[in-house]
Amino acid sequence: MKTIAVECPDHMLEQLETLTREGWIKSPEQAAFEALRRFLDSHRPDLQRAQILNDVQWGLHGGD
Amino acid sequence: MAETEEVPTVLDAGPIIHLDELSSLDLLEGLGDLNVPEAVWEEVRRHRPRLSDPGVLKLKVVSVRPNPSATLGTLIRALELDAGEIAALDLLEKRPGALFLCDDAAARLAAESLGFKVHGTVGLIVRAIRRGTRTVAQVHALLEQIPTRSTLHISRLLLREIIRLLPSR
Repeated sequence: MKTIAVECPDHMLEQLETLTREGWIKSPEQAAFEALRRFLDSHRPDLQRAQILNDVQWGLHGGD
Repeated sequence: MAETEEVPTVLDAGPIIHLDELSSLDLLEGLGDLNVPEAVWEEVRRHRPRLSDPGVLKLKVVSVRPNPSATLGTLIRALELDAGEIAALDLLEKRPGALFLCDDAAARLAAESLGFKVHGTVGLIVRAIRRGTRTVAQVHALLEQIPTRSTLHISRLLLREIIRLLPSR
């Protein structure tokens, strides 16, 4: 496991601290980890590749 | 004879920013009315201030108060889309049949899940061959410039694969 440093705007950190105080999340760090996990889920290389190759087919043969 | 009705287009910030970085905004021509939600327009202006000058780009900036359907609302939350993407998808729901131009994988996934037609910067560049506004050689060169001249992230391996799919010059 490695540590990465992320710059976070003040207003976002305040929101994260509020969520932590209210018990919705364990910590701002946990929220950042969860956000990264979700980002990686929705930005899988195979998905992006399929989307872009579909673009190419539209570009070459689309009927717009 | 009835004229062919152009389908309206809804844009996210990515294709506008990336095409401007590549000095190729003209590739948006022929896509009907170009509708841009205010939140997207703000993002575009933040990244490309020169586009604020009137006349650089003919767009219809649309005020959107997002009121997404239940399905879209669920996708927005699950995929953690940003304000511009939410506004664009909401606008798309109100423009049945519209084409969505977007480079964000998650926003594209949401739109495709709802049955919308979505394409991105690479498709717009390749489309220039079909429309005859760029030669194959010019499109080839533009695609090769993506990693150095634009902020669109695409693997070099995929870029090479795309270039191989182009018609021979």
